[in-house]
Amino acid sequence: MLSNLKGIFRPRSIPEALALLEKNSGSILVMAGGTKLVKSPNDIVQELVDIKDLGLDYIKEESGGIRLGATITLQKLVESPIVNEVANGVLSKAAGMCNRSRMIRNVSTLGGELVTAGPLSVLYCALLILQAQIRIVGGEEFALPINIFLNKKGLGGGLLVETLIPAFKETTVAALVPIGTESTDALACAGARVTFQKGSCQNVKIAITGCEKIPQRLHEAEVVLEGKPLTGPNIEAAAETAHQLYRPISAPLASEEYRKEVSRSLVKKALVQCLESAEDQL
Amino acid sequence: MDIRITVDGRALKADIPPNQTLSDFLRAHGCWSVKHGCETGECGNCTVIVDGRAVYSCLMLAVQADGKSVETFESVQKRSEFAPIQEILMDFGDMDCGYCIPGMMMAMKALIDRIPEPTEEEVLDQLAGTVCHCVRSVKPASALLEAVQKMRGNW
Ligand SMILES: Cc1cc2nc3c(=O)[nH]c(=O)nc-3n(C[C@H](O)[C@H](O)[C@H](O)COP(=O)(O)OP(=O)(O)OC[C@H]3O[C@@H](n4cnc5c(N)ncnc54)[C@H](O)[C@@H]3O)c2cc1C
Ligand code: FES
Ligand code: FES
Repeated sequence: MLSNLKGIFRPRSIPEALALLEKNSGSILVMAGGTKLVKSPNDIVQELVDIKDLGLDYIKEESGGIRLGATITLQKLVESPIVNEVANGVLSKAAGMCNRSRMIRNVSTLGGELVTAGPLSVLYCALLILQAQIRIVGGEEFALPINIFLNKKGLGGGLLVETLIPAFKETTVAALVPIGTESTDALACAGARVTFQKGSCQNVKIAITGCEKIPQRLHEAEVVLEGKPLTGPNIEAAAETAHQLYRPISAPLASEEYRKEVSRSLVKKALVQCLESAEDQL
Repeated sequence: MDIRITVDGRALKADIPPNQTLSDFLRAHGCWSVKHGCETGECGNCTVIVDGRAVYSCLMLAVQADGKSVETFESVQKRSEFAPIQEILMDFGDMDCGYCIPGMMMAMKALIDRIPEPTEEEVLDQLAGTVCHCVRSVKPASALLEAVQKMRGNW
């Protein structure tokens, strides 16, 4: 594997890493944890840029939110008290679900997962409802909202350096409800996040995995709840709208019909969990 | 490429091809407990501990362990305090060949080094990435917990 690999660079700064990537583009790749790359049948790659010494393995809490460095491992996200505190720990939960094996989570990184995960990714779903921003440096430095990053996916030879989770109001709650997590990714997973203001829902975000390319944001279902109290009938109405909007795919492991069928109850459960958290916390 | 790795307390220096995996490197240096299993990150037979964390050595390049400390089953097999865990793993479900034991043992060691009193859930989570090719069944988490209790006297 990586049969033509001739060398591995270990730069100590981001500019140094970028210069290496630019100079050798075409035959060079970034390596983070390496869990995907090491067994890659890629015989074009001749050099790797190991980014583990760039000081990007951090979790920082600041007034604007939480900054997560690209090389922080999935297991550190699972264990971090800071990340567990945010929005009912949905990001920690999602990081734990990226891979059942702790031996992989101990090495694979948030950046690597963001670049490689697919339409079933519970992590993408969590980041969508948390409204994460992805910071990339290349020729220039820019931050992309997670939905735009996922739709584009190409880094244009740049480096993904950071994920920002914007700060939450104390009255914000969130939930992730997966189905079928026995072996790999969940067959489908719904995520919901709601901020309560004087008893009514604000800034509602609902997303679900198992679609063509990336998890689907269910905007019209969010609108059903916006400005209204999170009551049983309102939850039912939002879940029904979500079910109507959802465009699932047929692979892998579950059919389109199955995913469509369970979507109503997954969204409903996610909203009920938000309600229960609100009753406990607020 | 030149690397320096501490393996089971031994400081090793070597010039290796950049695509050599850590498992191949360790076996080339006499750590035969590090098994070739699936080689794709699914069975855990190659599990070792790098700087305190259990990892699959088949999915890591030796270069990635440069400057780090690696523990293999070679370092724990003769330490009597680990015997209760080893016995439980071997007794469980008529294990046949024992091929999976070193990897499971290292996964368990990494857990109890970090969390001296793990819960059943933590044991199951830790062992979720290890597979016994002969028995293929759920790991004896509760028995392992008892073994951890037994060990603690000798810890
Ligand atoms: C057995 C097995 C089962 C798996 N099952 C699942 C699963 O069920 N669900 C799932 O989502 N994933 C799964 N994975 C994928 C796994 O989670 C990925 O291997 C991992 O997330 C990649 O992270 P890494 O840090 O090891 O990336 P690497 O292997 O180092 O890199 C992967 C790719 O991302 C690029 N890259 C990495 N970091 C950056 C960065 N900061 N900037 C730019 N490019 C970057 C690399 O160039 C490379 O192309 C599985 C992997 C294995 C081995
Ligand atoms: S041989 Fe490494 S995980 Fe199977
Ligand atoms: S006893 Fe044979 S692989 Fe476990």
